[in-house]
Amino acid sequence: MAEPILRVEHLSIALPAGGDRAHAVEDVSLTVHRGEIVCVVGESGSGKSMLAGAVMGAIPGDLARTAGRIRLGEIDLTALSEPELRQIRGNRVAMIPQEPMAALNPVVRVGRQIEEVFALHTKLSAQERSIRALGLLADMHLSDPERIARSYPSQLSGGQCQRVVIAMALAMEPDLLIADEPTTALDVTTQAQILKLIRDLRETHGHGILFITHDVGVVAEIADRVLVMRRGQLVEAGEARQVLTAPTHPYTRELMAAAPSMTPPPHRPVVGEHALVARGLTKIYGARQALGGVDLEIRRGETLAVVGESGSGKSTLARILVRVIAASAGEARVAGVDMLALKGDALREARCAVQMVFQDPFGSLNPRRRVGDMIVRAGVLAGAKPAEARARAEELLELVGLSKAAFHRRPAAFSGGQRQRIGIARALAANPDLLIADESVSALDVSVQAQILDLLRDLQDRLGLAILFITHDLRVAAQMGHRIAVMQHGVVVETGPAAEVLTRPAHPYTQALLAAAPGRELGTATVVG
Amino acid sequence: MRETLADLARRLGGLALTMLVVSFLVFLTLEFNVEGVAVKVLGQFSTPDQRQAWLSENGYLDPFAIRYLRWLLDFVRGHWGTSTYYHEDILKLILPRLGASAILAGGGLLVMIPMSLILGVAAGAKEGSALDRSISLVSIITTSIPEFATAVFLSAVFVIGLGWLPGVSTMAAGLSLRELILPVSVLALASTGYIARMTRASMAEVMAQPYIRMARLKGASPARIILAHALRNALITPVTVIMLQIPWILSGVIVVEVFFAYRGFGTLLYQASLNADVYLVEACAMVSVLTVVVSQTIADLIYVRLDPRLSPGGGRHS
Repeated sequence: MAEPILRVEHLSIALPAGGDRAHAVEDVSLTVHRGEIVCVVGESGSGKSMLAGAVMGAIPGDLARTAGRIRLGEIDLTALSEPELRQIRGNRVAMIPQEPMAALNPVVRVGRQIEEVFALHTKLSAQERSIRALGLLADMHLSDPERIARSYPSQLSGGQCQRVVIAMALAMEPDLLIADEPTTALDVTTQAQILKLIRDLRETHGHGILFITHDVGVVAEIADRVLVMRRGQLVEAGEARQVLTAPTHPYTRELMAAAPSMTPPPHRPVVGEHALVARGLTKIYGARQALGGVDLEIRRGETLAVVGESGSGKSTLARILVRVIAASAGEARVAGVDMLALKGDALREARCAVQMVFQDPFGSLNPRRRVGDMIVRAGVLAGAKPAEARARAEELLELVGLSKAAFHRRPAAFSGGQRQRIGIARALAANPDLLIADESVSALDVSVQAQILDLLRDLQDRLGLAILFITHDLRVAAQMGHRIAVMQHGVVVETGPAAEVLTRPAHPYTQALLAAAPGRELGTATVVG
Repeated sequence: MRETLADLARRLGGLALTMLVVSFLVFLTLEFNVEGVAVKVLGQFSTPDQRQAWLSENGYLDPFAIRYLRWLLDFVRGHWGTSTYYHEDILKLILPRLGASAILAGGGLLVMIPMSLILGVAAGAKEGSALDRSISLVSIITTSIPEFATAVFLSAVFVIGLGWLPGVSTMAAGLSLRELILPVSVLALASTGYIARMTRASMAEVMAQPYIRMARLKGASPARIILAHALRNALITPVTVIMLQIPWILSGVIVVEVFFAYRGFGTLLYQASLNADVYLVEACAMVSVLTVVVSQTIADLIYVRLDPRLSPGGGRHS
């Protein structure tokens, strides 16, 4: 076996008193060898990012290590002072952060930000620093490195920023790379490229890589070994194949089962009347066409999953259908009425027919209002009498699986998944014909995500809802959509029954998306097992 | 470069348009009622015949639009008329007063900008620390005390009690630094705390950004993190506030100028209003608005220097 680069021994980090548990990280031991990718998997709050911070000698907040040792090669990081740690950080251990664009200083050209690493850790001259930075950018397969180096982060795409940040991490040829959810903010095709880049680095440079992720698909794609974390503790560790295909700990099994499969479940054909018929939806911003003539129809009781990468126009589509922005051309008939032609009172009345569940469970609920009041208000706006709306709100809370006590509480008292349930109840209070879910489960952990998807399916069966389900995640689309529409550059390039689109994609872009989806083998394995 | 020039032209156009709208409102408010103008110019004991004769002689019987355009043209050419109270050419009256106020304002800014930025950055760099709490407390106290109270208090201590400084700042014997100290201190005390708190909030927000943590993970020292990464981002908000303070200092601190009998722009506006000096009020109003729009335009140009995302070509390339 190759030499161990990182050895963490019985590491514990205490949380302040009064939290939901005593330790952010509790008695964790792990080893990373040269040329090895070790994945740490866990849901939010599992302590995986805290572990990464600790290995960099930079535990966030006011928390502190209470026990254990961290050895980097022969150096005991836990024995070093802050100035000594500064010489290690960015030099022998480097971090590839979660949100590449946010991790770059918006007012400094990215070339300068890479050069800063050399300024901090070497005695190179300004000219040598600049040459080295350009070299790193070229190594990242970025075309026109000079232009990239001169750019500010806001002038680059997410994928370009991620390559810049990786270049920065590699500047000093560190022994250990820590990648903290490095692809979570990226599109699936970009993600596939970045994962390939990281794998190549391991082969060519032999870094040890500690890769932190919540995505089981990514794990299947990249890991040599897997560690599963839950509530600050390591619950399972082993070779990737073994953990993914034959997990021993119940939590790991739960996590694997919750990851949506790429194979759609069998559907009965939906034969109801059309809830939405949209023709030629177009949106033009100046010289840019955000939406170029989209045709859609959704039947009652049917889910149309719209998939596409950022900038494909899928959110523009949703905003046009709820009349938040005006279409440049086209019509959208909901229950026979063209929503886009309405004005004034007629629009206000008709608006209830299309309701939306938003992406961000924290930003989409007013923190000052009580949950019950929000749902009652949605009902009253849709024309119900206050007493009826109130009775209906209580019913809806039960329908989405929340207790009656929720009625009088404020959003702060609820978790992300519970808030999404509240958002769904609020949308349903208006008795919509069409429910639009715009990335509604993207911000949730897989186990919670699975519950919300179940809830939406269940509600659809009971209420005969038509659902327009917008997502960037093919797996979620596979599980939710009776039909799938694939969007690229503002146009629907392919649409058809889910099983058809996923198994026999006709359009090259759909094929590319499917090829880029991480951990495809895993999907089939889950179905078989 | 071309984008920058186009941007500058756009800003100057906006500036001119704002001035035009304000000039119309000023003229409408003060000169729509011609009788009122005649009373103010000739005094309330003038006879109706005298007023009528004066009105026709000075073109006041022409339609409103014509009078406005004539006034505007005169204004642009620097013919601002004669003060009815001081009996002097208004332009000649205003310029030295503006100069005096600029000295006072400049002195105030010279003290308040470095002090407030240093205090704000020091407080915001480590939110919740003892230093942060003490700076915030002092800031709140100084901000909450109105200028006239500070002026009285400082005079009581340094003029009456210790006798170190003069109580009036008439500058009778030319520019005197000793006479400037008190009014400048009052101005600085009123604004420093406010700007410091703005800077602190901005700094604290920046220090919580992912790129600050990234700088730390690159191995940067705390001093380098603050100077190379946080400062420029944190300065954007205070720049707005500081530029908003400039017109306030120039025309709004009548209290300070009157208290210390400082012969600046503020006292001039105060006298003009007290004496219903129509033309002087008009001129002072236009000058005040000019300082507001010019300082805000400068503030906009500074933002663009500080934050490349705001520059005309600085957005996404797509």
